[in-house]
Amino acid sequence: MKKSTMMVNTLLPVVLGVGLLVGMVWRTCMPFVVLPELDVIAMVGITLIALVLEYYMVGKVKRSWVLQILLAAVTFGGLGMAAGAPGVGMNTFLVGAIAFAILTFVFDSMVARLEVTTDKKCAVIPTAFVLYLACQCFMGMF
Amino acid sequence: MKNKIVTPILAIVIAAVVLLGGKAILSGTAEKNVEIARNKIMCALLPGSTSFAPEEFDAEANSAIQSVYKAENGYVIESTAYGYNGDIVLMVGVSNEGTVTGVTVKDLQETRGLGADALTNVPFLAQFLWTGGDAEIGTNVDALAGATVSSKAVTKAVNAAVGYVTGADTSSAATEWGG
Repeated sequence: MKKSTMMVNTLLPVVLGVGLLVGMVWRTCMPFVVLPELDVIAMVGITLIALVLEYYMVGKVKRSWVLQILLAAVTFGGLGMAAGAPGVGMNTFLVGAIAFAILTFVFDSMVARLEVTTDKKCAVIPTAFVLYLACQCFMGMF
Repeated sequence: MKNKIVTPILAIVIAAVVLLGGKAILSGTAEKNVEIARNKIMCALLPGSTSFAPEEFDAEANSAIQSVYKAENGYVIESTAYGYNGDIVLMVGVSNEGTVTGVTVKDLQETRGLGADALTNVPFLAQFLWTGGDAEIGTNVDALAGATVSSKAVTKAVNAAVGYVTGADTSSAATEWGG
């Protein structure tokens, strides 16, 4: 039975907020350190962490796609701007929404197939990791 | 539905408030630390100098130059060139005679394991020492393995910094993107 919840949209600002806060403190202490920008790859990683946490907390969920994608756009764009993260602009809203939509759709499809296996709880993390590597390879083509 | 959406919105608002607060609290310290760190780096890039003053420059005529700091025996110049995945920003120490005394990468977003190695690959960066705007990949500089475009961008930025001091035209076709 799928639960109707927006847990991933609650976890997303928490994971992103912690990451941005760590980056902010790091840049304050070491101003010339080169840290990754809030780019597609970073968004993919953050979304996958939130999705994995959501799976362990509530299992399979029923999504309100439009609302959840809008919330993801506000999360990436709004929090990125609030933190003054390098590389963040108006396009972050759009890129964040697209990255979230694609990742969540693909991840949900994979999880639906993992449900039939006996070790589904362990399989979710490697699945997310492989998905992250696949996105990195895909981005490397451009 | 109404109840479901309240928690995510609340989480976004709380995270934004925490980040804005953190930025406000840390901004003073961050600015101070930037100055201290910049001065330390510039002293290393231009040995023998202790005080650096920002110098005005013609940004239109020197599009690759981001900022210039003048010292007694030379300049420290922040120059930039487009790499494989975005701008590569360097800090280059150049003596009054127009020779490179130090190079460090300030910012880049190149591919990890390839172009991003320019950040930490000391033998690669050391090749630019004592060059005088004549650095060229394949001639007197060996490119990073698998990162020719990034290497050319670094070379272009170093030559641009020297060119600013000597006034020479360093926009050689051999250091253009992919050229």
